[in-house]
Amino acid sequence: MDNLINELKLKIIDSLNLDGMTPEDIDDNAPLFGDDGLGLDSIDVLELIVLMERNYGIRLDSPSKGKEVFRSVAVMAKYIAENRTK
Amino acid sequence: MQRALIGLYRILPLWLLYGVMALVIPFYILLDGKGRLSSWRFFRRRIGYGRLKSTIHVYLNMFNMGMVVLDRFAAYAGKKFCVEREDNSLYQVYCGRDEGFVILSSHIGNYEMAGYTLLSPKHMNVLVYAGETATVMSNRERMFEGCNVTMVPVSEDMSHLFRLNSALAQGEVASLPADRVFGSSKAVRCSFMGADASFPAGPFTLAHSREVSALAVFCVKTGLKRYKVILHPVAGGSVRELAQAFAKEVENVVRRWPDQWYNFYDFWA
Repeated sequence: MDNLINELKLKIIDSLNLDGMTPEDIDDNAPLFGDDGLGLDSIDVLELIVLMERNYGIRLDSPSKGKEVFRSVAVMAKYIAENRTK
Repeated sequence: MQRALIGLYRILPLWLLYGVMALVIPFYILLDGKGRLSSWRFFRRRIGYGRLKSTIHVYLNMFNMGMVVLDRFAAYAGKKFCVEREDNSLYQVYCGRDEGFVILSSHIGNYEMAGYTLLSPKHMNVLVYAGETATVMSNRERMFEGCNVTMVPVSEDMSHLFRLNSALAQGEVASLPADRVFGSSKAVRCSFMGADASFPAGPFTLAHSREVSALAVFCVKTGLKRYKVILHPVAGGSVRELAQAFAKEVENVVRRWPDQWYNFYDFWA
C-alpha cells in the first residue's frame, strides 16, 4: 500500500502541475480539497477523474462516489487497490 | 414577466419591441455605471475608438445585448430566425469521428441560437448557468427537443464535471463557455486584444486531460432575424496553448463584431 500511495502522490503532482512539491509534502490523510490540505478545487477534480481512469482503469461517474474517494490520498489508494482493472 | 414577454412576442412584431428597448437602453446605461465604464474602456482601449465613438458604441453594445435577449424570448414564442454557417462541413467532420470533442463558447452574440440549429448527430451536453429562471429553463428544454442536446447545470457538488467527463468518454460532445472565470478561480493568462487577460482553466483542462479535440463556436447577429455561426478548430499541446489559441479565435471575432462582446466587467484585470 505504501508503494501505491507514493506512486499516486507522484501522479497527482504530475497531473496537477504542483511544481516544487514532493510526495513527502503531501500528508497521506490530509483532505485533498479545502484549506486544510492540498487546497485542490473543482478543476482538479477533472484531472483526478482522468488520472483514475487512465492509470487504474477506474471510471468514476457519480459525484457522491467522487466525494467519497477523493477525501485523501490514503482513501484514494485504498479504493484503487480494491477496484483497479489495470 | 418573462412569460408575459413570450406572450407579447406572439402578437407583436420583433422590430416594435426593439424600438421600445431602444428608448429604455439610455436609462439602463445611466443606472449600470460599472457595465457602462467597462464597455467604454473596451471600445476606447482595446478597439481604439475615440471618446465620442466609444460612447456611441456603449449604446450599441447594450442595444445589441438587449436584442439578443429579446431574440431568445422570440424564439421561445415560435419566431423563426435564419441561422447560416460559415463552414458547414467542419462540424460534420468532428461529429463523424468516434471520439467526443469539446465546444468552446463565449459571451459573444447569441450562442444559444446556434444550439437550436446545430442538429448534432452526436449527443451534445451543454453546460448552463444554474441560476436561470424556471421559465427560461423550461423553454430551453422545449427548444432543444429534437436537437440531441442535454443541458447540464453548474452544480455545487461538481456533478457537472462528472457528467461532462462521462459524456466525452462515451464519444459525446461537451459544450462550455470558455471566456469567463466562474466557479473555480483557476485561470490562464492569455494575450488578448493587446493585453493579458484571464481565461478559465476548466474548459481547456477538460479538453487537454481527456485528449479530445476542441472547436470554438460563435453565433453573431447579422440582421434583424439573421444569425451566422462561425466555427474554428482550437489546437494546442497544453492547457495554456489551448487557452491562447481560443483567445486568438475570440479576438478575431470580437474585432469583426465588437458591439457583440458581452463581458461587462474589467476583463483585463
